[in-house]
Amino acid sequence: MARVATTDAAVEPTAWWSALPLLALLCLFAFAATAFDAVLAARAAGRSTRSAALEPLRTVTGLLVQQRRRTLAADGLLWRGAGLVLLVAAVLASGVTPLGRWAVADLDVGVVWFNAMEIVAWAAVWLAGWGPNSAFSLVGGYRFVAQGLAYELPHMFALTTVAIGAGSLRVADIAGAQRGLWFVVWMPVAFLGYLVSVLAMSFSRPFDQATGSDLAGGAGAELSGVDRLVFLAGRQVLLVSGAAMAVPLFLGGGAGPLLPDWSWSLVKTAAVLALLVLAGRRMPTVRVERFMEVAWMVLIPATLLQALFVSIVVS
Amino acid sequence: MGVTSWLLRHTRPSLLVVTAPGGTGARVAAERYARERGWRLALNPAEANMLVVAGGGLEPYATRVWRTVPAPRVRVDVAVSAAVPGALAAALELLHDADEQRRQAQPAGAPEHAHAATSQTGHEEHAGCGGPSHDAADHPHAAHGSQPAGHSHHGDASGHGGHEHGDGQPSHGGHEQGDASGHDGHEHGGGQPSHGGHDHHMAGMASPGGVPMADRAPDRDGLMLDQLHVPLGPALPLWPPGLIVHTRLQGDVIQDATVEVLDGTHDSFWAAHPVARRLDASARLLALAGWVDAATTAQRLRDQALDGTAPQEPLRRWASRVRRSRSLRWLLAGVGRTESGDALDRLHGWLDRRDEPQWTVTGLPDLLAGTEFAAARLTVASLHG
Repeated sequence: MARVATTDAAVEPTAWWSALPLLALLCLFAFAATAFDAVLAARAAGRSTRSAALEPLRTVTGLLVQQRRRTLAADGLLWRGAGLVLLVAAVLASGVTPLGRWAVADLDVGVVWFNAMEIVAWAAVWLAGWGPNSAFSLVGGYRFVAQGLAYELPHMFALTTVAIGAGSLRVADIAGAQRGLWFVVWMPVAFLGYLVSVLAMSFSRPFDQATGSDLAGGAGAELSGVDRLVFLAGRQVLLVSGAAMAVPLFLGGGAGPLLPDWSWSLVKTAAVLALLVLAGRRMPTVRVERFMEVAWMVLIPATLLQALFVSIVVS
Repeated sequence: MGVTSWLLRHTRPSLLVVTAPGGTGARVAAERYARERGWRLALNPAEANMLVVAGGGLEPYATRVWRTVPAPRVRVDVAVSAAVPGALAAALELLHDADEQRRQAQPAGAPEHAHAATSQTGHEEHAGCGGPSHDAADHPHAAHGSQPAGHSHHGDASGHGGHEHGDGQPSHGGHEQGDASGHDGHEHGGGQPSHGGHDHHMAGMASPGGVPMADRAPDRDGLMLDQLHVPLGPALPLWPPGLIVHTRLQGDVIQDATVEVLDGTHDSFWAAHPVARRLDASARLLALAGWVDAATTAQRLRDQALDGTAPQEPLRRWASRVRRSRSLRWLLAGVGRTESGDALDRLHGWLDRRDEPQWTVTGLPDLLAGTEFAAARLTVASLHG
């Protein structure tokens, strides 16, 4: 499977103001994912699914008028800053994700940038758990740090695999390298490892133990009002960023028949996002102490072997 | 104000339901009301805007939790299931009422919070006529009345808050932080997540906010680690009514636990509804395990069973879906193992309509010591049929 590093990158950086439509798009997708989740929940509850899609909006209005909670001897800056850091990192991660031909920033180390922003989320959730000086929050923070130890290596091996496959760390090159064959076809294990780690890093179901029901909400247990809104938005945008990046990394970027490439990027992102939301509702919360074993005994060796296989193929 | 009122009118109710001994019927009715209307069930006071106290006799815990619910907020005390629909409908009106919520957001020392001698029987009467008792109980002195005197260490400017020591148990100190809005106390007794570690002998130690630092003790590997004293229950969602487990927590691990049971009326609610009882127990275990959809379906089937209209086919489909789930088996196997099996066996027992022996709290401390926090919650839920 010979492959040539593409020098004529299929992606051009756009003007700085394109960060604004990116932000709008991310918020739109985050809301759509939440609404889809609410519809699935309403179906399980035996209610009309028609009005359910708007329930998240009513939750948002409630959070906008809710008082902000304070706790005794809290570290206010780190605690309230955590949600904002999470949201900003999640948005910045998508800065290198191309929408068809356009990306806000076409860095030559785009994959590294993306990974670095995701790791910021690791710190953000820990701070959210540590900040309010509350036992349940703190345990939630501990859990997320442990979860990071489980998902981060498989995630990095998955990213490494596609970078090896394309011979470049530039996201545009990786998307361009799949003109003949999408990476998902010959790197299925890396793709699977990537999706699992995206769910885990955005502490979405079923990897939501850091904010679990047994901990009365864990890292988010003391958040109310705008603080809660920012934190939850950060989580959803992080999930969207992960889903959107799966498109140039594994699903051929904007490539597709008939439709323009930007619309293919959107369609594929929506499909990945729907898959992640659906998967999360189909099983119980995966507890860190059980996930750790699977991550280290199965996921890490499997993604490593995948990287080895790809290295042999391209060399 | 126009915008605030508009937002308030469109606020989705989010219920924090806490259950007193004897309050199961009211709890089930409230859960059903919420589910049918698409209201959220909150996991903690911070995300709640309605506190539903099901049954009487949960003071001072319910009031402590109430003080930590941010405005907009409504408190509803309901003793019997028949009163629930009326009480929650009235509560919705109050939640969406801008004037009422402005009052709720006012400083704690405001005149309408003057000393109200709120007795618990008074609450129940109030609940019986279907009205939410939104702020009658929101007064620190109501809680103080049932607590040992002399445990208020530091009051503050508003005279609200202070340093309350629940029932005198070391790990029970409720640390209230009075502030301008008077709603953000930092609670211990009511299933409220917070820092523990406030042994009496440490109460005088100078430390952040007047709260002593966490203790330290060797963990299971012999390392010196912080330990927190965290009481679980009784005002905790997805928790058996009237149970308090005092834990010593190191990280995510419960070092040891002692059990306390609140006095209360014997709950005979499930006596006539064995099918609904098993579905309710399964719903709680599944909710704690994080399988929201399966838990919601179990609640729906439970409510139908209580109506006497339990359809056999959906019940069978749900049971076989839960039994087949490989991830659930992987996650519950080995949790809370007793001579008669683990949490998974007990869940399967409910699915197979086997009646397990009535649970007792005597074995609980041994069962919980050394387990992860999540496993402890699952263990308690699986034992409480």
